[in-house]
Amino acid sequence: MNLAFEFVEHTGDTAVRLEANGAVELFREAVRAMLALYLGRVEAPEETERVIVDVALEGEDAEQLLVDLFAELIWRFDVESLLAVEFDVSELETSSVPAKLSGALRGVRFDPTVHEVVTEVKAATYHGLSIEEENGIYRAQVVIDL
Amino acid sequence: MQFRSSWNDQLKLQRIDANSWRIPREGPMHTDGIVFADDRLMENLKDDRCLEQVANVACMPGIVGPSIGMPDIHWGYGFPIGGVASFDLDEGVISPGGVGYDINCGVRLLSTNLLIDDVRDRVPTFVQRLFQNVPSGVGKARKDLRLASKDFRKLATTGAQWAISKGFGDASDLEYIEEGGCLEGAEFELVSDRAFERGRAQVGTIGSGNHFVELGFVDEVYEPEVAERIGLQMNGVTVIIHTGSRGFGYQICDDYLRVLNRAASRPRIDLPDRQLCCAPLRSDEGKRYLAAMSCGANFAFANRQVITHWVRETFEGAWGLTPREHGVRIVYDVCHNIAKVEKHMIDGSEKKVCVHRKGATRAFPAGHPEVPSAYQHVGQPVLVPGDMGRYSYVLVGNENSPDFTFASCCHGAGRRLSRKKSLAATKNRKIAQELKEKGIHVAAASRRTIDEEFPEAYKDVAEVVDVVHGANLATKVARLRPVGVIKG
Repeated sequence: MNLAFEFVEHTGDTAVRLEANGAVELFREAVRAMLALYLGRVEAPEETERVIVDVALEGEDAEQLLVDLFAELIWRFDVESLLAVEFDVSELETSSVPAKLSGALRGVRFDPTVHEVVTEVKAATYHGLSIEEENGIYRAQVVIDL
Repeated sequence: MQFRSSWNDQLKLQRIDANSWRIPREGPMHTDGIVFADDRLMENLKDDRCLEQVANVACMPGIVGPSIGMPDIHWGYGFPIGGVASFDLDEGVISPGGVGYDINCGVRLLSTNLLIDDVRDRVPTFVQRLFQNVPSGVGKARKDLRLASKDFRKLATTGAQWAISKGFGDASDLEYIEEGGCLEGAEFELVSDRAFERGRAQVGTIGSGNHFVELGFVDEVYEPEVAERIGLQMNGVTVIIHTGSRGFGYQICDDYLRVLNRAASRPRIDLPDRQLCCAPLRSDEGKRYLAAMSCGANFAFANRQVITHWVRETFEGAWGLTPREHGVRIVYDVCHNIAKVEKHMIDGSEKKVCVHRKGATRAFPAGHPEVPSAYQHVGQPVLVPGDMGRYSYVLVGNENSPDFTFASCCHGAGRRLSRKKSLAATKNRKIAQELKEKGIHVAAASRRTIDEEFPEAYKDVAEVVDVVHGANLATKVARLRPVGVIKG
């Protein structure tokens, strides 16, 4: 894997595979992958209004947090037109119950006259969901419904 | 023939007849799987994990009858797309994964008084105007339709009735919509603020992907009397609307998957796939999902009703026709992602069950009380859209349909190529131009959508419909050809 994320095509939809040096970096990579999915390319979006939003997620485990992070990105795009570019993680706790993830999403306001978003994203699914760690390398897979 | 699943690497597939196959009950399965396919369709399924998914659904508690795969079955999340499963109201479960994210994604067919040869040269004008009138693509919505909470609540609880009360259509439209355009039992209090926020600006939008509005005409009729009864005539102009509950439904599904993932662990329901998470139908979680899902379904009914109104306006604005002249009426509107409590004959007696249809439609035969009175002698119309370059089919429910299918039918052609492969295959082609040369005018929010959705990306829907007809799931009535399409 050359990039820290890649897309694996299913017939109608897509799976995102992530690889990172550490759990925090894995979640940051998820944000970059989502941006690439929206834009159809790995590039920063054209500058428009800059936006920063705080997010705080809680779930049963790290997998749930990953699904919830994608869900957050999808909702923020649909409702607030946020194209999130980076994720400044301030807290990640996966060994506690509930697991917690918080931080600030930094991005730009989607403007259809400036940006081309190539796909509508419905949701992140639980199908084939996984996070694995081996020697400090974290690998994850999430199937995205398009 | 054998195939492998996550819990058994030797699942068997037995031929029943030319159009159906059995996956015999084994291991944790509570029942058989039955898949409708001929040899050619089955050959295509070998590389797809949907057969394993049919077996997985058969592992769910309280399933009544077999786990069923329709002829357009393909891989989904948890449930296969093209999957049908019914559950006992006392012992069974309800699963958001058995409905899908796009709750009540469905198809509506409109007929008109017009003949294609009288309007063919004016199709481009119609397509342009339709594309202006009906928002298509990511983030597109009409600025004149953003609902306040009070209106949205009414929409979510009364569906197409809300749209008609606001002037989007006529009360007579309701008879030709599954469930009269409104699922009872919808409780808006059980829908999150996030779902409301996501859906409030999306009423009257088709979205992107495989959703569309298509102008076409009847190019073949197989059952002339039935066609006439449901309002279709040879060369008559038609419109197909394919869309669903948009972000509102996606968010409801997402919210309740999370809730039910927790419910599945108390008491634990062991399932082969987390996306199959479910709750007993009689549990609080199960009842709440069904009531929230009904809100999503009602959004979709209202969505297609609002778009129907704008289609009527397009006939009037683009072609200068009066309502009497165009005569647009609803042939039928079917859900293809839904869970509903229905009465069915099981082992010789009538019983209520919760039928999940994910990428499958209801197909009640002639004489069924749920069939509109005008169609009582012919059965409920079933709409099976194909791709934008070939054709779609209209069928009606067949009274000889096997009881164990719970009067269900397929919903479309099913993809053959992934989006990425479609983009690669169309890289050096101009699909819109190719379609135009075939007499099909396309307007889309992006070229990429046209490329991803190019005709060869889909299986030939005729192959699917032939199996449907051959297995008596429904009876072919007419074929429709596209002449104009708007896409997201």
